[in-house]
Amino acid sequence: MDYIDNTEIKLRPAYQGLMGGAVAAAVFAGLAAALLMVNAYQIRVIEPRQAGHLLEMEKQFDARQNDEALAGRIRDFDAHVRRDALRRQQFAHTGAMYLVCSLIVSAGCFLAARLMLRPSPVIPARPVCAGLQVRQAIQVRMAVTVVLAVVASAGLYAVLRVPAESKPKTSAMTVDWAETVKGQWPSFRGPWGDGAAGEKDIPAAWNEKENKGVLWKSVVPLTSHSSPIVWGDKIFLSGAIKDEQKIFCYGAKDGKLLWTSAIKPAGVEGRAAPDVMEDTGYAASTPAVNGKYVCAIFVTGDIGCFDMDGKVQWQKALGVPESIYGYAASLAVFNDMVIVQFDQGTEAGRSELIAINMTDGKIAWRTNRPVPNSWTSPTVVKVGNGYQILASGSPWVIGYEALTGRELWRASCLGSDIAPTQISVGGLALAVQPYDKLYAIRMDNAGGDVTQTAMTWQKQGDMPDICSPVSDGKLVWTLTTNGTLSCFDLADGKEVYKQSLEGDFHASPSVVGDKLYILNRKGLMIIAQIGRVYKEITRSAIEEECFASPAFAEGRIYLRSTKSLYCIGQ
Amino acid sequence: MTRRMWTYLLPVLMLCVLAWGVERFPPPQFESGHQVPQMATPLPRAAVWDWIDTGVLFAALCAASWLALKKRNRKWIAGLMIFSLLYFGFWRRGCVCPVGAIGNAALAAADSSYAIPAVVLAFFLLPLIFTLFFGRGFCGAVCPLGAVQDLFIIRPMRVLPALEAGLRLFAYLYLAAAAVMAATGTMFLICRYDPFVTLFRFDGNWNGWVLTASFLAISIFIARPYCRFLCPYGVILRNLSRLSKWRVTITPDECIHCRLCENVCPFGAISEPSKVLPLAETAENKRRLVVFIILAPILAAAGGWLGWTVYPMLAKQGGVAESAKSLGIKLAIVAGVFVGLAAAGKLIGSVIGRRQEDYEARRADCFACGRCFEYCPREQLKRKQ
Repeated sequence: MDYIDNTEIKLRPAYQGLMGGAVAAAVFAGLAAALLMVNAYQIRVIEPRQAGHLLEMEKQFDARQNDEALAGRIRDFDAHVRRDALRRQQFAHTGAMYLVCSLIVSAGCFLAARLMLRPSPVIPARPVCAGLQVRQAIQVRMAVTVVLAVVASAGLYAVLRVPAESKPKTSAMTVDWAETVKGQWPSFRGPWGDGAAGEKDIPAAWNEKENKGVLWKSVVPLTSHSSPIVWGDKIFLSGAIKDEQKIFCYGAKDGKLLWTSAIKPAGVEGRAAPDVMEDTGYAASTPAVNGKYVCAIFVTGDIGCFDMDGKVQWQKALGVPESIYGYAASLAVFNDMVIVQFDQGTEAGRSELIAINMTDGKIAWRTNRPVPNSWTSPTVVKVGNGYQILASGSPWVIGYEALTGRELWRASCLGSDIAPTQISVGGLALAVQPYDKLYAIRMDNAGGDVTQTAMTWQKQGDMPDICSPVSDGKLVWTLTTNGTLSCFDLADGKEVYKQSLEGDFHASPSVVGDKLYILNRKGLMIIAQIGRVYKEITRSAIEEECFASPAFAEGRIYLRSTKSLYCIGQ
Repeated sequence: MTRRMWTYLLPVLMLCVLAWGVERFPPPQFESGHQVPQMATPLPRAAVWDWIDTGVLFAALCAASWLALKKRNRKWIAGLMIFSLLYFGFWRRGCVCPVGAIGNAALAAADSSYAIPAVVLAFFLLPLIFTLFFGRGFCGAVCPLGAVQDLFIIRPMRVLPALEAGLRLFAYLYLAAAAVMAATGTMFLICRYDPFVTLFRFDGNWNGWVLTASFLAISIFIARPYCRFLCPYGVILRNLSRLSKWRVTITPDECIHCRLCENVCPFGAISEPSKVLPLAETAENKRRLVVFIILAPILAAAGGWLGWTVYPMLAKQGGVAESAKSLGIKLAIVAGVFVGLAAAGKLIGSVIGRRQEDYEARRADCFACGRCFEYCPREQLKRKQ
């Protein structure tokens, strides 16, 4: 049969053209591949920032920060290496497109050429017999059995292995983190962000004027409203002005300034410094510490991490957040992650919750938040055997899985500009709608939008616009800026009492043992007995203005005024 | 250029595609002067294109069925296949595709609040309907995922029927897992791990390119590996194809047992003539049939139990919402039962003897690519006449 002979077909111009096209395209693809490999080698092997000693130059600049010529050289060279890297990327992208297209053309031509050929018939090499059918059937049964065994084994292995590994891990982490932060004050309003201290023997009376109870007082070089945090024998503060962003570490023993470290403000050159309200300042966000590293974030969106001796580990510019009063969310800390509530914009869509590994500065996870700019802070809470991170912003109070950032639940109850930070107590998340309501949301909920299902109670009243609530597990207190202290029953939200206090209040109240600590702007600490009736125990004062919330650790109180850091103790 | 050279050259070239997966240069941390441009959201695609896509799919399915059953022309089928690759693959960037639409369909079935777009529903249903009547013309000439693999069939090797039957179980497993995960709103598994979307979009991460390159490299030796051993949509199509009213026939009249069709089919979809089994074997098979029929509910129960046991772990890893967990467990049990029954079906099928006189394309496995009849001497003779 003539169609078996392919010689005539192979001599046809169409066949030869197609095969020629296939070869030409393949050669082109080979060339593109070779160039791409060289390019890929250069991208992967050559570290652009190492080339030309850029990093060395940056180190030199750290020592000579006023050397404008060196700064200019760094900037020029940095731009050069970036341009070079982008050029290589573009080359890789374009080259890959050429490579893929030429491969497809080559394969298409080859396929088309092959379609022109006819294969020779094959003489049956084996007899068609029932034995073959039987053998094949046996093999099919064996193959199905093997696959089933593999699938079942994999399933069983996963079932048996994962709980065995994850359970101790979870419980260990539960114990570890709770144990690790025991007795420390690692972030705004303590480890759980609720202003409750497990301390005993906290002083209730002091007076700076009479030099009574103040163990030491140290000058803070930069005025800011962020609160002190404590880890072991070190106290950390952040401070900033328009072109300076610093973190300070003081010794708990004598108040000596142990070290100061700076984060280069990204906004100094070429970028407008953000507009902030005077009440907010450039460092309203309280830092966070986990015993190995301390992190601080500023109104510019610059965040830096330092070891306990002040050495810079990493620093990042998250970009100046669009915040009408200036960025003020404090950092939270969980294990080795620092949590940044980066709410910004006048409409929802640009906000995020970001967890950054404190060890290397890499993003552990980031989750978009459906809220506009807010001034609340994230808080870490323990729910069941796991940890959640709570974050508020109009209109949502949202619970996230701490390890992954996955949203677990959300409740819609807030509106407009939110500054008071939510707290959690007795399985409830308590959130404040300024001037309006206090909401209690059950956290052991079914997940998703729990507005209708997990809202335990809501109470209308004289609600704060700055200060966060506090609770002792039975009662809840809120404190307005003009001094209205309201007490509610945690069980049902009913108002227990209301008390007017003198002065303006920016610092959030705290609960220590059976006492309520309320610090007004003039530095007067009002200490009241916890109970269903308002009963003031004593008043103690320092002589400087206070915006920051106090920290409690090792039987001492640390107060930050606009000028100084105080240690109150016995 | 010989086949052998292609065999060695192409895998090397495929691996070179990986050079695209470069790491981004880290963004400047403390840059100055650079204004980060505002993110611009592209306008949505005009709705009319959805209907155009549906129309093209319908026309392509009609053409594929006509070319395979009536025209019996491999070249035209290959042409249609390349058109589909260009249109549904590179032009439409692999989405919407009927394979991925399984996820939408599963979610729509489980969640009444989810309104499946009409075009997605059409993409899901049209190939099923056509398969029910005309066989798997969709796979052979319309599916871009199949088409791109088909282009790389250079030196196909015959896969042992037993191995093929075993590996195909993974497609059932994949279908079950994808349906459960989509129905619980966890993820569209098929779309996320589409092995060719990286190529269609000229965009993707390192893992995406590795997956694409791996499948295309395997395609050189094992024809259409994704279609045969993983495609979840193929599972539905192959079973519908068993019921198809019309099907591809190799020879236009009589089979001369030349085995050209068996030789040329890269998918091992041609079954050879078979004789009646010996009496002893027939009796043994009857016994096996009873055993496997009894085993079927046991396998189904075991599959259901495994689904019930494994699901909470998967839900935890995959981030299933609390509200979907109870539904997920139910669906996982159903999925496990489904996979168990599929395995039992294969065991039962292995003991049911068949008797045929000629070489025939198996309905379930035939992609209607047209290679077999293109090389059939009787077909050639008929064309000459």
